Amino acid sequence: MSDAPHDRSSAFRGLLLILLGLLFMLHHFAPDLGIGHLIRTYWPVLLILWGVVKLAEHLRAQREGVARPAILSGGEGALLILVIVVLVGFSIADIVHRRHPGMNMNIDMFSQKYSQSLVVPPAKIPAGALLTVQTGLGNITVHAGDTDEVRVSANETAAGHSESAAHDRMKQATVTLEKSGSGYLLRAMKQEGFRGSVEVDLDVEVPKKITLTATTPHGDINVSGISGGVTANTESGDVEIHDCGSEVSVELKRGDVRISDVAGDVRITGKGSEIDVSDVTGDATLQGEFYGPIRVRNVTNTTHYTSQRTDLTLLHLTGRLELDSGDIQIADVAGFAKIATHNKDIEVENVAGRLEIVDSHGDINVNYSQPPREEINIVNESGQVDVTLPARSSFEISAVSRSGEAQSDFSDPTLKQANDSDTGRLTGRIGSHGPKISIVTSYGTIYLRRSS
Amino acid sequence: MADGTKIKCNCAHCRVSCLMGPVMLITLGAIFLAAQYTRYGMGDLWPLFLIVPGIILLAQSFASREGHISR
Repeated sequence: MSDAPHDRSSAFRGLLLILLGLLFMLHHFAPDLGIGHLIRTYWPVLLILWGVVKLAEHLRAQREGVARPAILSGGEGALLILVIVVLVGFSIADIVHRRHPGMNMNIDMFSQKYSQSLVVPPAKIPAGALLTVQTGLGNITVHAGDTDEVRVSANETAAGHSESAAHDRMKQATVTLEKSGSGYLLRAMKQEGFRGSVEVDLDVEVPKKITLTATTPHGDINVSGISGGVTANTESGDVEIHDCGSEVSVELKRGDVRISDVAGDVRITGKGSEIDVSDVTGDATLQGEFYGPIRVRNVTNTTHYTSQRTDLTLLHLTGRLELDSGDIQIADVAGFAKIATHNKDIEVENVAGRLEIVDSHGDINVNYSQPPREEINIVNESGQVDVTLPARSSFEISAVSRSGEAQSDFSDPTLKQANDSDTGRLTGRIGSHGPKISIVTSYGTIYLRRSS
Repeated sequence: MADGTKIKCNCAHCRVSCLMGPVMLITLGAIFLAAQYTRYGMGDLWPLFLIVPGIILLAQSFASREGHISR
């Protein structure tokens, strides 16, 4: 503040401080208002406000015949930068919140977490009934027991500045179990408060013979021992499902999935990170973008994986499938294998049925410990192809590498190896009655190796 | 003014700016009291530490400096 007698301090600083305080208050008390979004829309109002205040002061200065005030004094400048930082922070938080709903953005250093358990009377449900379990925020655990009742133990957690404040908010939230339509609905309600949500974790013991749907926008889902179908939905959280007697379907937007011992089909859709599926008597279908690693072991019927980059089908996977951002590894398939991808290295071991690979910009490695019985068809672009077969194999090969070469450990009068300046070729027949092996690539070497 | 005696300026501007300290203390006390007796605590009400000084600065800018004595 200048002490020159003609200088009145500007109203701008006061207005900025009040605006800042009101923004924080609004963000805190009315989180649904979407302060970040409002700021991104109406930030030019700040410029107008600045202009209007300065104009008013300018006119006043003229009228009183004193010197004109500066457009931005030092103190105002610092404050303005602070306000801009806060506004940008709010709008970034808004964008993050939109992309990842359910993330807790309430940064509150004065509050602590408190929890309490909630009593829900047990209820009998008939065998084969459909049970839907829902919470707005919190984890769901469902396990089958030797019972014909649904037994719920609910646990509430809320943040608050004092224990009583937190308990006040937890009192609002309720958990009900009721018949709805053809099934039963167990759900937590009234979790939303203006100071953040109350987390309600549901731990449920159920009869074995039911069909289950579990939904939480933000929390983990854990299910075991149910003989009917299981459907799990979470927007952000890990899903674990074990020992289920019928089909399992999981939809998620973020988190890991672990599924094992399912007597039925498994279906995972959406987005996520780590996926681990094992021992499935049925189909395993994975559809979506998963960062990986993805591990699938022992699937009786078809294993199917589709993402933007990869389309993969395996029949009777007795071994394992491993996938991550840069490569695909497959071992021991009793039926056919069909892989279409790009920019990935592929390693395949022991496919009993027909093998088809389409790739580009990746190295392909195929290794059989038994002579091939069905066709092998490999199309690659800009990468090498390395095929290893046992010495006693018989097959008919046709391999071409444009701008590359072809090499073979096998030798036979009928096997022709031609590497001219431009193209490498390998054609011919080893043994009799063998399946066709066809390999096409470019800018890479084709190796046909013989193992003992 | 150079004789060492403290001369207190009595213009409206300076009187308002003298309010800043006491009003902040009152705000602080009121918030702690509110935390005891209401559902709202420091975590909810801290933006008052921006709003209250803002109001005082605003009042200051409207207060006249007539008769201001600088030290």
